[in-house]
Amino acid sequence: MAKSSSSRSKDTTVAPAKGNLAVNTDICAGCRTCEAVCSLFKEGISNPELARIHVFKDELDGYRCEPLPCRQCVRPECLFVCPTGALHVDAVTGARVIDEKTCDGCQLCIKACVYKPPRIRFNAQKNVCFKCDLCGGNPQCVKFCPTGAITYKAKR
Amino acid sequence: MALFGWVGKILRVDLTTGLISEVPTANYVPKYIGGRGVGAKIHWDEITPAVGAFDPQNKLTFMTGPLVGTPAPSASRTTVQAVAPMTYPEELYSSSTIGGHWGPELKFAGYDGIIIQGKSASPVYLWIHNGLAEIRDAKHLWGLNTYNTQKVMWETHGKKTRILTIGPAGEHLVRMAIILSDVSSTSGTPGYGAVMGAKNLKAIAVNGKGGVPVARPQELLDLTYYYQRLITRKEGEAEPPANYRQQRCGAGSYLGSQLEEEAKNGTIRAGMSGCFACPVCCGLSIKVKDGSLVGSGDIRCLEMLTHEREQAYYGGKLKGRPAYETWTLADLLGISNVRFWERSWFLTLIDRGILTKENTGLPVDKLGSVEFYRELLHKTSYREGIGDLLAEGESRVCNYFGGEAIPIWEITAQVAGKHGGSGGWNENKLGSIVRLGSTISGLDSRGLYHHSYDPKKWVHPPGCKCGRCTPLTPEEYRAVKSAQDKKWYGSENAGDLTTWEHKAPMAKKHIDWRVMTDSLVTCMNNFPLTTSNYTPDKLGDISVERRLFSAVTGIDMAEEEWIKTAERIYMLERAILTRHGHTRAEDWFFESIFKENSTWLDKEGLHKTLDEYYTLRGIDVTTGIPKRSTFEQLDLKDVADVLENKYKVKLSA
Repeated sequence: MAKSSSSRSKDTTVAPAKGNLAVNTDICAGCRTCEAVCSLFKEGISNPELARIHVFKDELDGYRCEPLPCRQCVRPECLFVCPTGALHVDAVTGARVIDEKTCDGCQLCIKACVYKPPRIRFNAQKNVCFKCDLCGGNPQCVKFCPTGAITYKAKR
Repeated sequence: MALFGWVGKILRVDLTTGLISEVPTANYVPKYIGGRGVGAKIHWDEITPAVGAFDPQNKLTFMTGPLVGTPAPSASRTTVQAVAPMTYPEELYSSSTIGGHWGPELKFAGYDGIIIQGKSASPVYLWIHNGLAEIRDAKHLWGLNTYNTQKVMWETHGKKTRILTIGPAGEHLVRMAIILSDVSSTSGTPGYGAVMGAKNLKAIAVNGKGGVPVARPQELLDLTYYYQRLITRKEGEAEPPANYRQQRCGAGSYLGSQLEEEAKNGTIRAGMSGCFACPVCCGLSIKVKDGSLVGSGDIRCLEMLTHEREQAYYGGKLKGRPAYETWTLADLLGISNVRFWERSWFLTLIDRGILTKENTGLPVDKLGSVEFYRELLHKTSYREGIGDLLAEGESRVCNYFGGEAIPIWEITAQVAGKHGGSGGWNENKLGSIVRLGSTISGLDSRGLYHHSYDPKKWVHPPGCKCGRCTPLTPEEYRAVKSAQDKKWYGSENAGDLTTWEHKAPMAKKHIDWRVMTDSLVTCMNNFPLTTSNYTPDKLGDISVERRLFSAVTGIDMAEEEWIKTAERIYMLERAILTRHGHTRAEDWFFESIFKENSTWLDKEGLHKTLDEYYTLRGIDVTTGIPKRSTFEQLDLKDVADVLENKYKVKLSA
């Protein structure tokens, strides 16, 4: 049964993230180094299904590629809907992050994400949701993207 | 014992019985590493010399390696093995590689490799997902071109699915048929598309939610970053990106081309494309904005050569969009366009009037036009009219005509004897003679197809058109080449094409590294990395592959053991040739090759160098057959026993 909406109203605001990931689709080559590195760094195994970033590819449309990171929304619908508070604002980076220990795997955040495909995924083995946390301030996808298609944009 | 890197299982699919089973990867690794090494071992164990390319008994193997599916740079590839349709006169074992994203997805689906044996009674495809495999009906796919096949399969199995497919050429058992994945990642040279066709296997689709375990993740990440910084820079950095990406597969191939012109005008969108976890991103992706052009997608690997040589190929007439259209057509049909243009055998047959408009039905008077090329590719892919003969490949076509066509074939094939012929894997035979150095390096190399050896790929050379670098002067470039030759190959003479000196050791080193590259499986574009644009001396680091292997698998190997592993795999491949009756007589060129190159290719020098090479390898200098002691030192005593007992080969001590 779906939990009732959280006590936080739509008027609630949270501190914006200090920056987020920007993408340049002109130079994304679809190599998915970001997916391999992200999953290995965050989960200890190289598995794109466990990456916090994914590259959309349309091979038959001129091999069009677009990295799809979490936008660290100013109004994070995922955070507003989280019933346990697992999804919160990181004190250091301002990133919208999920505390695995308090996440109960309800997946309301995934449904709430305004982007399609959602930028949050579910780990069936751990029964928790996972998303980009900007690697605590040193995003690995930015570091390892060979072309520079993914960059970190600081806000203000 | 927990495996890292390898995911632990090889799939065996029998298309005759429909039986699917699993083989522990640990049966073959770490001794044979993966890729080409495991492929050779399986072939040695399970196939006899009597098996032909199109026989149901032929086994088609697809092997990834321990690095595939991890962030290890450029470790995206899969090797393909089987008795190859293009080999001539005797059909023989060969090995090919294919890049892109299929290999990693196979690992994510739970398998290190696949063995395909037998023949299906009707068209089928293989569907492998999350540790399960099924043989499925492919009647709805048979006859479709390679892109449409994948479109249908993506609708059925989802976009994450990666597919190996054949086109009409493979279905019609065209010897130059390719296997293709996505848009331009292919296995080309040996003609394995026709082996799939002979087995009624249309495609292999893989999709998985699994991952590849890594023994020492932080070490792998550190090594990956270190290696990336040897290879390239990002857009926006002060230092320009590496020459390779700037210029696309060789100096000057994209810059200044008609395609670049169109990109500047905005009529096409040109971008980069890359294989899984590769920092090179050598592919050129093209979208024609008005939608008028057939095909789409990107240009990779050997297609870049035809693009690079806009001047030389197709009689010098096809450039820009028409050239791009013809490459795409070849991909759609699933046929190797490179095979028609390699060493100009086809154009020469036309030039000399052996192939004419009358006897081919082709618009030969419009040679070099898209129209001619379309006719040629269609007829060949469907074996229509003259296409039925052309589908047999250059060796068989030339020998069919005989007479004046024979010297044309000899120039193309170069290697005499029953294991000569082009289109196969030349690792144990003489390969292409382009320069003196490559003659002997070609002594066991795919015609010195080792891009990373060429400093132009990685440093901005004299005449660099990227507009952002300070290119080397000719003197500086020569100095880098000498330094590279001395440091990695042991002598400044290694690349000196005016002398036989040091060619044998160079060939041995070169081939050993190639064997490991093909077993891990990384990419010969940038492994081993002999030069770098970003080091003070412009030299790279060739230890990286071995260290990547250790970080991923947790198995530490000193360089000596690494080389011994390469020697072992090489010697197993040599044993496969030996049981086919390969001797020193087969390691030689046609008389016509010596005549053509008489100014520098002298038999005495070649004999001496061959002696030297054999000695380095532990091959008997008189017979060209490996010595028993060599096999035993390489932990291949069982191979020596089989050669002597089963195949009655006399091995010297």
